[in-house]
Amino acid sequence: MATQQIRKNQKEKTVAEQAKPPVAESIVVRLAGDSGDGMQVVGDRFADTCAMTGNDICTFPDFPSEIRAPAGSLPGVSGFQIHFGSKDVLTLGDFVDCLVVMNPAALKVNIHDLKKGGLLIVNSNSFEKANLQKAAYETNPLDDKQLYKKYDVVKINVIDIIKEALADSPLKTVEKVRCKNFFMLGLLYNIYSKSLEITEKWIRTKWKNRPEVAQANTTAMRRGFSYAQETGLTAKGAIVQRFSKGDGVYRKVNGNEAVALGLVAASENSWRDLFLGSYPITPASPILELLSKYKNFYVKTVQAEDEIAAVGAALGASYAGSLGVTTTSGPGLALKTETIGLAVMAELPLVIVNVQRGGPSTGLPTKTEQADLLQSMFGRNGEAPVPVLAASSARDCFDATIESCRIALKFRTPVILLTDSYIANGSETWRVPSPKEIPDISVEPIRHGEEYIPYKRDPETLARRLAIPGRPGFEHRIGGLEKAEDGSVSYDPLNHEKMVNLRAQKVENISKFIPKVEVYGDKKGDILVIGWGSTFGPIRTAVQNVRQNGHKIGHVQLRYIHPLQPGLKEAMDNFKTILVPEGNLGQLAFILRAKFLREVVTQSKVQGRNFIVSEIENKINEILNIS
Amino acid sequence: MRHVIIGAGIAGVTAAVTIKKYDKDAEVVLIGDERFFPYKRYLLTDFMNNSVKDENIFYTSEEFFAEHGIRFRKGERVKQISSQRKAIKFHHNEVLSYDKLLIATGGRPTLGPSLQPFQRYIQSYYTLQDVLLLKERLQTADVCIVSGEGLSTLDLIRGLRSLGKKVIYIVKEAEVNFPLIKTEFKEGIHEFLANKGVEIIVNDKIVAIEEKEAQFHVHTLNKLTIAADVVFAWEKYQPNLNCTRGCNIEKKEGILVDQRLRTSVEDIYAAGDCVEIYHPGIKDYWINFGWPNATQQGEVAGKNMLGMSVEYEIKETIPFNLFGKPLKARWWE
Repeated sequence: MATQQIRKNQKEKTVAEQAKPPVAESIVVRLAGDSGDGMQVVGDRFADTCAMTGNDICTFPDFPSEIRAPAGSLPGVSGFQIHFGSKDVLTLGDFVDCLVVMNPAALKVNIHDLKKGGLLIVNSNSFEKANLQKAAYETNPLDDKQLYKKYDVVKINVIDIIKEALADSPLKTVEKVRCKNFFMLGLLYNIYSKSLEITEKWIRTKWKNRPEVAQANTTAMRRGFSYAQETGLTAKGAIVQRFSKGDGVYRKVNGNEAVALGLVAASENSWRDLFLGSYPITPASPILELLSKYKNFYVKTVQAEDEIAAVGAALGASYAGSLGVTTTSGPGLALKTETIGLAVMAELPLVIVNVQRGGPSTGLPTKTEQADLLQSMFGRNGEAPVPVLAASSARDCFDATIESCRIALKFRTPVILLTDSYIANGSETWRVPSPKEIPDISVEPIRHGEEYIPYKRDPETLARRLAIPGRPGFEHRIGGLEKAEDGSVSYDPLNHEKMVNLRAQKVENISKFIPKVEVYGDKKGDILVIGWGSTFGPIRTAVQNVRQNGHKIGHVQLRYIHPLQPGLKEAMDNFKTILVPEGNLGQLAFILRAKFLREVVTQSKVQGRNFIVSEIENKINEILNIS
Repeated sequence: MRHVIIGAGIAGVTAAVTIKKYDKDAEVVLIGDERFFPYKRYLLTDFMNNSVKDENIFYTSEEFFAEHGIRFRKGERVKQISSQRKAIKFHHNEVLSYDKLLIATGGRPTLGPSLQPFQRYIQSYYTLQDVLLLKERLQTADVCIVSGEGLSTLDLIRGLRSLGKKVIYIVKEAEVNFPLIKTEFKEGIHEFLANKGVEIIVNDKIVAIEEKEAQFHVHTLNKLTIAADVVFAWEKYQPNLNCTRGCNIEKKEGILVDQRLRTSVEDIYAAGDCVEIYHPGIKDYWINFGWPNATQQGEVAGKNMLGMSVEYEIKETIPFNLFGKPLKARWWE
């Protein structure tokens, strides 16, 4: 249990109080089963209930890339992890307090993440010969006494109980058995003292056209709840109290949702219609799906025939005065390369959201990685600098998206925003900002009668003026060929050099319009840990833990990678060692070395998973020479 | 100061001219979504039956706007108004700021939900563009079905009959359902129309239209099937409020304005067929359709946009002439 604060004074309590489960600061639960077992559905419901009852949360669905892997097989295991707490929850949790497994394969894949002494809840009905073979078990692991020594094992014949509870249901047997995920959900609600009400309401809405299914799922969930009560499972759980984050409207949000909402907010606050040109690709597709529901906010979505058409349409829409956006993942970014170069040359605003996944090529479609950084920085022909930003958490995706749009519009440039599968699919509690808190990012429109020279630049930002094509008095030419200031094609060598330098300088100048780097923790000392993207939670927690032992450690999480935030060099100069943990083989470290001629220590992880806190903590201790 | 006027009907044009009349230095931008210079909409039927010549339908021209110092933006449509930014956005995404804004987008006949699926078979009859297309069609058309209520319907029927077309009028009620006063009609209007050769089907309505053998087969609620060459139909005449979507201007059927034609949002005014004006007599809002009313409202709005304080006097009737006989209609009981 991730609880260091379980009350120790049980003896002083009344009998009634002693019957209550202890209070925990935070809990990590993982549900795992076959990809058809509905683990994502109930995991999401559990997270929703936690968020709506005042816990801070961090969740992550972990599912196979195959639409339907062979049932009961190891690759077909689907899991959903939730870390909920009465404190600021920044990570998914290194180890699991409670593991629910629906079949042998789920046990095999997940058991190593369960804490010693942790609660293991098993659907024992599924531990029969065929499933054991599919999971490559020679003997039934539930017969292994070691399992019971290591963990608190609870075996439940879920299928038998479900069939009995749903004896009167008109559903077919196979449909009744499908309700087993809701039985497990009800069980968890009881163990962690949560109400069924929020989920029951959700079930009624979800299956409003099939009331018999709604009724069966509700009954199964209630039976799970009562089963935990009857069998004393309640005492194995814990109460996680509310986390007070201040007044406001809170909701659960994942990274993709936050990007979509950030785009709508940016569209409203730039007063440009949002145009999303996108081609479906895991894990970015939900952004397209979500935005297609926002037509009432003047959002236009186009599912193009391929990645190239998608970015081309977005760039065209941008030229015509919309906020042009395209969303993709690594392989898609590779295909969009040429058009991003065109956007650099034409100096048009364009936002490219790259939800990174394991690569290269098709790689690991449903797993996370941070290996597209150098592609984003340099993956174009010619001198084609592009601002690159990275969101550090699901809720940060909202702000990072608006900031990307601001930079794209203000400096008339394509901007690449990097998120990844971990934060795209993981959920957090998010305080919904009021419209007044969201910055106005509109750009002064060109006025009737104003003299228009397409590549004449603002002396401060070096950005050119934009005019919507087709307006009388603003006829002009842009395109992929090099241009002179008046928009005419120019092969003049000196003009080309001047324009190359201006475009580069324009992007470098952005550093004057972004916030200075902020160092968390010690401002001077032994180690400065620099991260970007989804490593934020594990790094911050690791730094917090190590600093408790009196070591001088600082943490910088970079939102702006190109150009780098001002003040970074000075911050680095105040520390003996720079450590960069990242989900690649050292791409940010490569940039920092090149930029500052300073040695940095790389910590790599490319397993399709984010870092866990202890990995970073161990690395810091290793550098500090602490065994 | 920049005055932006959305809508180049008579209310918008009058407001633009009024502003320039009293303030020669004012910048006035008039935006019209049709591809013609503003014309006399009330002459469309006479234009259809060739009793008005092409040149007489227009009361404005390029020279007219140049002479008045008005910047006329022809064929451009506004899709959004932001009162916070004091700016409008065109369909082509251009943004234009304003100091004072007048919404004069008029109204137009609309189809109810039951007729919308058959929109492609229904001839619209509201703009000059509609009438130009219609004139072509009428050269080979003999039978016309008309379905709808109101003065515009009666006017269309008059025009079609004067061209010698067979007109079948399908109407929901046995009697006209808008209040008429001071008419010279001794008999009911339906009887009058029947005497003019119009075939009238009462207590019925169109439920479906299909295209068959170069004609349109209209099916009615009472299970009649009637073939025609052209079908005209509309449910009701409604204020055109498209550009106010998402804007915090108060509205019901139309934009709500006080007697100075001010909307609920500072520096935004509205006039013409798109508004409901506060009527102190009945202590409620009131739609005041029609060309003469819109003209007067345009003048009042223009003056108030310049800072004068002028109140619009509500007219309770719309004068109309049907086959040479006068009648007056009003929109309230």
